[in-house]
Amino acid sequence: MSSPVGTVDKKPPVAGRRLLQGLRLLPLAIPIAILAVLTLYPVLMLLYGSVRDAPPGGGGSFSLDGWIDAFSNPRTYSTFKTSFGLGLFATLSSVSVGCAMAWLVTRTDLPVRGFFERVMIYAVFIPAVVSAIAWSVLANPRVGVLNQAIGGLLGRDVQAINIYSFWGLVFQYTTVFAPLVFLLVLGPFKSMDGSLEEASRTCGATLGGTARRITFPLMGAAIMGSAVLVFVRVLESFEIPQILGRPAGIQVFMTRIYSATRLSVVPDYSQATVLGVIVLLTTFALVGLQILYVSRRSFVTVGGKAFRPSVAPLGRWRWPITAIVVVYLLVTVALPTIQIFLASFQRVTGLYGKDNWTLDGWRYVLGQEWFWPTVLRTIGYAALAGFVTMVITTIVSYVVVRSRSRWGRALELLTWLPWALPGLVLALGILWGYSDLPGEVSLYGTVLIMLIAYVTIGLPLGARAMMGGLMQLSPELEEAARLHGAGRIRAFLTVVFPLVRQTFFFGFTVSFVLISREVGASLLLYAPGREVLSIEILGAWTDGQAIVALVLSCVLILMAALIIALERLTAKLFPTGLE
Amino acid sequence: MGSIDARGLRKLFGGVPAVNDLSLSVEEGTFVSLLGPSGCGKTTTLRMLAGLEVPDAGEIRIGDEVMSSAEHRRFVPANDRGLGMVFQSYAIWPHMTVSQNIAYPLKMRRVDKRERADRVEAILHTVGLDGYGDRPSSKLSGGQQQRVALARAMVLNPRVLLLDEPLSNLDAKLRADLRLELRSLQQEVGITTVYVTHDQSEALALSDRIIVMAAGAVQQDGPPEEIYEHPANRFVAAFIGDFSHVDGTIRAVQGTHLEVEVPGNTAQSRVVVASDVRHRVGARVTLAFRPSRAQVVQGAPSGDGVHLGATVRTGVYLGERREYAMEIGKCEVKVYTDRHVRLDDGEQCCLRFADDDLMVFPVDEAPEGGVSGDAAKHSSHLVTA
Repeated sequence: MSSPVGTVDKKPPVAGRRLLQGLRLLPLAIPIAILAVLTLYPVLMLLYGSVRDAPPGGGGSFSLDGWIDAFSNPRTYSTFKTSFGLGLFATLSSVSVGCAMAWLVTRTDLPVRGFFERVMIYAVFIPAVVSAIAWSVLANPRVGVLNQAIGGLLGRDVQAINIYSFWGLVFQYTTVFAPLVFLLVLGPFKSMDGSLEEASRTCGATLGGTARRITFPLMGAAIMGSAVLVFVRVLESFEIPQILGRPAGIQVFMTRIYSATRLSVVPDYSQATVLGVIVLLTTFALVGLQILYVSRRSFVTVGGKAFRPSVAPLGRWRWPITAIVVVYLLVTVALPTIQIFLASFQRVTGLYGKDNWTLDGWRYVLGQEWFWPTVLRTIGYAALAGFVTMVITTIVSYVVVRSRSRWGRALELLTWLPWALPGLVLALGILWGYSDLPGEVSLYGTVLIMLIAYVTIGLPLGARAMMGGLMQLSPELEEAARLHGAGRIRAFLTVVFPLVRQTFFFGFTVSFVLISREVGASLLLYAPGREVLSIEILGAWTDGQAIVALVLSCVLILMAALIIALERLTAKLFPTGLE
Repeated sequence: MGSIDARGLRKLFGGVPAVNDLSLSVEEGTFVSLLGPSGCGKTTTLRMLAGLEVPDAGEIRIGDEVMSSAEHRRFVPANDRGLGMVFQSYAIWPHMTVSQNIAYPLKMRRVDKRERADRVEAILHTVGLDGYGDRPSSKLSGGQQQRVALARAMVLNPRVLLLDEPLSNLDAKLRADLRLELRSLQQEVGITTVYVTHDQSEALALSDRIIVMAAGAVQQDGPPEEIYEHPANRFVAAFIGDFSHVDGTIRAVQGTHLEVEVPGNTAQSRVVVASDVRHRVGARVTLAFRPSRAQVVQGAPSGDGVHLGATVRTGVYLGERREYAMEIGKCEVKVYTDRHVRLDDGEQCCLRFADDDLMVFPVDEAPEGGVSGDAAKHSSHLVTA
């Protein structure tokens, strides 16, 4: 391009201007680059690590031994069977329960359904590690509270319920993941046009027939999405099989990866990495299939304006169903939470005698010199990582929502990627990626490497929150700012950000809660002196210090409750003016 | 200073042209409307003038300054153009007060605080919102929001004001009031204004000039009267005002006069109409007219002008006038008559037209797919109502 007519164009020549435009794009380009590095780099390094014969940072050379070992070891196949079996049954039951609850609270005349809805959402916030410990106290075969109660009723010792079993694990997963399914399908269930169901009823279909033929098929994409997510989450979960599966000798991929790296005398990283890659390929394939499935279906019924959902009368089933829901919520939500709090005040865990109550447990834990540093460290890490997550996701989401290009779609996919990455596997990839940086720099054992993992873990939910918030903003609001003299960045800072400020804080809260309970990644990446609460809980429990684990679990729950309350409070006190 | 000159504008979305080789000019101080159905490219054109879309081809000048030139790879971003704009949704920032909204452009131009307050005060007075400055803007009614948006757009005394369907979100009564206000305000300030609308009555009432658009191109550009009385093509005739038509075939051409045979016309075997455009014998043409310009003659045709014999299908009484659906051969037309003219269903009558009142368009001419549909909708209006 030759320089244009001088009288018209006062700008620098093309090359210089390009550079200038490039510099102006930096605030957008940097977070996008960080996102790409955070999500893609560990995956690539994990693949790389699976064909090395030395541990991360140890040099070594190309070798397929890890793969050959994995596939010649019969335990790999049994692990396959156990992990996939658990995934299948846990998904089936979680999706059934979660969808049934969502249907009941959104489309029927179930009494106090608003309250049931809040309880289910609350249940999402119970950390898996805490839930597993609670069920271990409630339903272990020998001294479990429930077994004692049943035994007391029957007048003899029984082992009626055994949580340390395959079906015990399935049950445990259901209590943890049914609320997640509920949360994911709640929106679609709520926004479905009620007249579609009413049309079916006027055509003579019964309530159940309408639910089966109209409601659930229309929810197909949402239900399918939640099913894939639960399956992936079950494959990824570490603390539940670690606490409940190990006593029964049930091994899944995650516990084997953990054993190979942290419990063996000689850590076998190549074995762990190969197992990690196998899980990764599975979860990627599932998430890919889901995206393919969703993109083939139209969302006409569940998008756009909020319709009035039709309320179907349950008739004579109303009270029996209410009773079932109440019992279900009591058992899966109230019981474990209450159990954790009560047990933290018991001299002997699980005994409800009159003189078994004590503050000693709390006194002991709060008196430990590591207690406050650990709490503050947990808060500090989660807050810092949560904040960085939200800064990245805010800018990335802004680009995704406003750009009409294919690149925007690719970026969105990248933010989904950590969903398919189990914490332990992510941590392995990060170990491979940052232990042997150029110049012999290793981040192994540093705070930074933990923060990298935490930020990555926060990305998917942070991005969902921000994209949701930004999509509600009319582009005209910022166009008006630009037209009236503000540059892009200025318009973003003065108009866009103030309007999504509360969404930012909401995303931060969710990331904070998610990060503060993270076990797998923390366990693989922490160095002595950098323990966080979740590690201490698991450690104390496996070491037999039940009371420490119980008290710390309470602290973890209180911490999450506190920040959620804070978020709700600021939303009330400082409304942004958007309704 | 505030004139606009755009040449050869083109904008593609996903390979499909939304605006195609469009040129327009707006003289300083005039009020020009871009009028057309949704999807005709009028908003895209406005956004290119505003600097919110980058044209794929063409040049835009405002005053002496080239704002955008695809050829010279020059593009002045929206924030450096110094224009005022009112958005369809008003885009009032809900986290700011009325004053903060209006002061925003001043702040961006680094106007000092005292002057800012004075100018906000003054513009609030101009738009009739004295004393509203400290209100949270999320608590405003639609009409108030529209005024705030207008105040914000005008506070810098911009050389050009762009309005994107600013009245479409208001109820009918308020719309009529604000329409008058907007016009008098514009004439008072003398600001060059480009107004995008799909509402023909708004465009007719407000504009010095109307640019009718369809399919990303200009169909006609002229003062309101000319657009209404002498539509350049069938699309413009059908889009602005009510419209009826019959089809016929040219049997003879004598200078500017055409002899047209209309099938089923019982009054005259051939009608003679005037046309500026050259036609050839044998071509099919559309004879179009405004339903209120047809005079109903009961009984035999008499007097000068074109006569078309018609059969009444059905009629409705609308207080000030009556509307009839009639058939001329296989064409259905509608006719508005004085409230005194009573015709029975099935009655034969004659429609008489003055020379100017019949418009002639070639049949195959259709700038947009929706045109024939529009016309059909017009003519079947009575029956469905």
